[in-house]
Amino acid sequence: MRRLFALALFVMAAAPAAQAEVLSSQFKGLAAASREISRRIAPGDSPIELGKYLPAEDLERLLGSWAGFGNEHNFRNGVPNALNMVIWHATLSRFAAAVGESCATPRLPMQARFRATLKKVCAWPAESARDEAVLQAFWLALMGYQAPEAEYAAWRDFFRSAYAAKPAAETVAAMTLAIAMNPYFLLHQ
Amino acid sequence: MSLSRRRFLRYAAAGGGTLLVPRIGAREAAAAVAEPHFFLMIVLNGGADPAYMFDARPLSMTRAGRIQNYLGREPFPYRGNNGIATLASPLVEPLLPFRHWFSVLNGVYMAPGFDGHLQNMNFLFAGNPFGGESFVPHLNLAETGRERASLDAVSPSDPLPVNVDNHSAVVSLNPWATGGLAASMKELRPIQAGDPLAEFVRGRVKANAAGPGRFAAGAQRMLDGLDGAPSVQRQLAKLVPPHPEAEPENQAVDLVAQCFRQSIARSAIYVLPEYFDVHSAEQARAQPKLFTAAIARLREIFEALDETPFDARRSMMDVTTVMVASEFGRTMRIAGSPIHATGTNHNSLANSILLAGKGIRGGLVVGASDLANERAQPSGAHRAMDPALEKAMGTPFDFAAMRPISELPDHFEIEDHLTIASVINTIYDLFGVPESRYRSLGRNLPVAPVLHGLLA
Amino acid sequence: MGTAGEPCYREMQGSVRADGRRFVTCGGGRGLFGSARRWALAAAAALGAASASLTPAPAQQRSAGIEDARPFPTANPDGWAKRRWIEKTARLLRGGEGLGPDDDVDSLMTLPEDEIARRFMRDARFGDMVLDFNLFMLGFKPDRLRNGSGYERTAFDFSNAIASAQAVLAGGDYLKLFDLRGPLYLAPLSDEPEDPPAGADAGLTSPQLRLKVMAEVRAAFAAVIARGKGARPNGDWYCSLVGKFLERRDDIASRFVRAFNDAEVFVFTRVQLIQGPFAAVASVHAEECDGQPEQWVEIPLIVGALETALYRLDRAFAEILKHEPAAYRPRSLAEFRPFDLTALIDTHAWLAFGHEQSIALGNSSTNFNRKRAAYVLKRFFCDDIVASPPEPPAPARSHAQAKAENTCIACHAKLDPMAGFFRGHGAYFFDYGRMSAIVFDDLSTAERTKYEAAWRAQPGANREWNVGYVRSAATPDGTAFGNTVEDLSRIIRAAPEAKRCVVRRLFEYMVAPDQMIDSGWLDHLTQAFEREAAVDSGEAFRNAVLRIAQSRAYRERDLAPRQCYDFAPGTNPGDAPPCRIAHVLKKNCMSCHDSAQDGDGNLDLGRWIAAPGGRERTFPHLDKFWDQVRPEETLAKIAERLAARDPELRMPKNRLMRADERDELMQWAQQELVRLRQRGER
Repeated sequence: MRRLFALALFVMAAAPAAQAEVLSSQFKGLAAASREISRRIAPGDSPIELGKYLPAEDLERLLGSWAGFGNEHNFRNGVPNALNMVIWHATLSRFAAAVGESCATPRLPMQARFRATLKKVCAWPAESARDEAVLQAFWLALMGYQAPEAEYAAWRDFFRSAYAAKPAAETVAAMTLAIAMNPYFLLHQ
Repeated sequence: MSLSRRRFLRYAAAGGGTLLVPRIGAREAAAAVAEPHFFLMIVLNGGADPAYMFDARPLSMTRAGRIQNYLGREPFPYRGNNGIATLASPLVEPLLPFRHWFSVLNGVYMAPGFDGHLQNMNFLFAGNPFGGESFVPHLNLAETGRERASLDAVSPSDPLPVNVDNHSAVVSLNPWATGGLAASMKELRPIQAGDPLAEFVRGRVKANAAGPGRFAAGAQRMLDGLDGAPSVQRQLAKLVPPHPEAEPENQAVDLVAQCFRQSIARSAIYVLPEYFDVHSAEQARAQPKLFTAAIARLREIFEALDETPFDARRSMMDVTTVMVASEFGRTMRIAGSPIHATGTNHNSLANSILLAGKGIRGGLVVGASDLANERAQPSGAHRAMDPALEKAMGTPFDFAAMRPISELPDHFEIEDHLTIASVINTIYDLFGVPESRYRSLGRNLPVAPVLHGLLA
Repeated sequence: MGTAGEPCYREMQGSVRADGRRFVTCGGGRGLFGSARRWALAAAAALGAASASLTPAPAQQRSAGIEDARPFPTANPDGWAKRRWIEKTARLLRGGEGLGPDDDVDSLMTLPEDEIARRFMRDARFGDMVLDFNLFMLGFKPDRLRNGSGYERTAFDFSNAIASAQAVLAGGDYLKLFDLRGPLYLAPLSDEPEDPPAGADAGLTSPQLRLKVMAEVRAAFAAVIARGKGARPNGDWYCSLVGKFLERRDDIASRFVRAFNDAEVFVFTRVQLIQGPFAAVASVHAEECDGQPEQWVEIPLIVGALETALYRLDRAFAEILKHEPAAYRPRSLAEFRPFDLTALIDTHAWLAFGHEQSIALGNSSTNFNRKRAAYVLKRFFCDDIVASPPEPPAPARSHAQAKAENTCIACHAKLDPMAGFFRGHGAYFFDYGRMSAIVFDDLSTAERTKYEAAWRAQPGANREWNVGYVRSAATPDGTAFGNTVEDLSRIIRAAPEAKRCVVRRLFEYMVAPDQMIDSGWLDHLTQAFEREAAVDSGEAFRNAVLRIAQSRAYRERDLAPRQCYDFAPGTNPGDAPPCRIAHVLKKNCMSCHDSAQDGDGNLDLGRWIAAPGGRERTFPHLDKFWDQVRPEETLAKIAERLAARDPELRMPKNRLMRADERDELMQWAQQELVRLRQRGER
């Protein structure tokens, strides 16, 4: 018995490492995220390209991409790491800032329904902007139904408390960033 | 990486508990200090012909119709400090000022039984012609006793043609993207601990990292990434764009140096733009030009490494181990083609590699390939492996004495030859990678020996 | 009526409701479709049908938008799950575009899932999904199919993928994906040149430059034609004039292509746009001029050949100009238009390996099309020789030994015959079948008949070529022999492995790559697909999408990669070994370890029973006292034998096992051992 167990331990110690990298969810990629967000908030003829918010050129493929002309395509760079988290954060921060600034002056193409939703939440910190229906509408406009209620509830409660007295542009930008950095937004499900 | 029976018995004698403890020897323990050590892999893509570098053949052999030579100049004797000599093509002259820094490894055996580009590139990086774990990220493991760099490697060149499983932290970072990247990193408010929004974002990621499945695993990786992000952001913000007028190699080294200095990456992979696959006569005739350009780039890189400081006391050359390799060598000719109008095919029986830099004894010539001239007789082993005698093949090698063996074996035994597995294990040894990751010589065969004589 | 638990689809009979919509009825009591809840939903939908708007609301009508929705009805926990499903399925079936402001989500919530999915499939964007999936299937999935309102150039490069996707939209044959010869889809011509026009072309726009180069070609022909008309010129003189004109063929062609980008040049070269007409003229020229006395030269014949060539060029140019971006910018897949191949000389069908595939699948003088063969096996048969080979060979003592190694033969027995289908196709898949030499992608050349001899069958074989799809080297009867690329298409169409591969890839595309799938469930899906495809393959594809969209794996938020979530109807997964290793055991082990009483090692790897103590399950495995062995001992034994170096001990004995399968089984055994140890089982 002991011999078998020791042998088993030997086998375990000698075993190749599990291929963990391909067995976690990866980023859906900038192209897919752009398509989703465009569908939700942009007019049909003016899609939003999140790539314009990248901190530098040539970084899109670091966020998860099928690109690779002249070879069979594999999805590359989709596993989260410190570098692509920095790039996502930088990109989405700039996008979020544009949404926040749109409270005053439109900074990105918006279809009518989202414009109306944004207008309501841009009344922040007025009570009307903190209304459940308004916050739900804003959450759903960006996240859709990808995330469960618990995520929305946590987001709503956080902003109602931590941003209770902050100005609209800052709050809306922070709200947008919080949604966009959520795993349900970034990861392939 | 499985243990051989001999090693298992040694471990078992030490007690069963040691089975589960990664072996960290004296060298590795000593490395567990803040001694900077980085790795630069320079890839010559397509199968570079060693005959145009440090494993040349005399013109008499060309006149005898045995090997093509489109340079048309006699190679010169190149003797290592260890007394081993080879013939070098005149094309390598630009590298000679650095000969004390690098060592030449000739006759290196690559993937057994496969001669495809991808198969041998996979074999170079992962030890398996079908792919697997690349050795490069292993140099950045915590097991080496060194603090991990944020990324395993940066690659300031074209993507590497290889199938590996663990290059998610090997990222392309082009020099021309650096400026914009650094500027936006400076502008961006970092994801800072203590910032309520950052804490909230992190909290949601963490809350979703708790499950058993792939989504939770992805969220966990996001969490790890978030935790490392402020440091990476600070590091990236400090990047200074290389001078746009500088040669591409200088720009690449400049960027790599910054990445090393700031612990952004442990390693760098640079693929030269030249493509060395010359099957047709027309392509093969262009090799002198091809190698002239490539060697000029290597020279630029070596100079840049020498002149670029790592810190006040050391240059990049002092802290970086460098490997220059292609996925295989080339045949001497193609059978049936006239020697003045022949291309060359792939040859995984004799590759040529340069090792240089930190931890490496420079100026050596290690290993050799056979059929050194038109009078040389092939061994029985060679005839069995290459009946048409189109290829040079690595000679047997004495690992203890670090010398090629001149006898002609009747049969091929891989344990007697210098292989890429030994080269990689030598790098592993340098970096303190645990022996559990060392490469074996093949199924049912022992671990490839480390080239201790190459280590400084 | 559907079987218990079986989702119901259009082919099922159903009664028509009062509002004209079709009820789909199913039998059985399992699952949503058999439940009372489902009937209640359907009844509510029927009652609400008179007032609810069921078709997508036109833009000018106000629909119940997102801000009116109550997405998190805590009273109904299924509500979120269904909305999530709707969102995910919309995103899937609309080429990446999920729910938007014009979607009436509340209305969708009242519909059964299959109706919702079918509604999304009627959207024009479903064509993008099918095309995107087809590109995934072919290994060339891009990040984007579209740019703005148009399509990326890469979308046009895969003609079989387009033809197949269009067929699904039009109720046609999805399996056109397997046709390796078919229509050509040329992308809208480039708006901007790759290199700015210089010299005499400086300042011209791309359309202008294209017109210019066409005019140049016409003028070159016209000049020669004019010299042959009117009063008869000297025959030798005219032959010489035409001969010199023919020598300018390559120069004219290279000047022509300066107005086009690489992908366009690729197409024109393959179809010999310029060279073809020249070749026709050259043939007549040779007949009339070679060795003929001057007075016998039939100048009108030569002029006629030139005029015919010019006419063909004009037709080709006209067809090309139909692809000017001002005239052709398809906004949906249905608007993709095939190139009229009758406008070209000698091109009746387009080989489906387009520009990017031709670069990715280069052949060389030494690889004998094996790269192309490996691609076909992997992409059309899901037989990935490279990723899942037998174990890497031990270093051989001779080249002959290396070739004789079973591991080499295991791959080459499949690769080499498959490679033979492309034996006449050289660089960029150009067909050298009528030429004496073949040029490869590495620019080396070979005498074609000598090169092709590698595939010639031995004398006495009842076929000319050793070319075909080899299912198993051990069972030659399963080989489907052929000769041409058309034969390969037929073989793929007929192969059950190819249909199984489509279904598997669809699962990977919709759920996740590397997600474990129960082989019994995959068989079940495949059988349904095969059965339905025999009648209507487009509908079979839609049904396959629906089945997967209604699976547990698709719904699961946090998939465990090595767990199976779906099983064939009637299967009790608890009675079989864990699905992640069941197929490995069946393939590699069960032929010997098939019984605890008298199988090898008294071990039955095909069953899964309660272990002593009752808390765990294990394989039937008896010791020398005929007592059931504890699970950790069985697992340790399995792991030991998988890792053994001694050929006498290593399992499977005297057989080769795929490296990934060995790893999978080993990892599973190790993880189970750890789990048992943690549970304190002894």
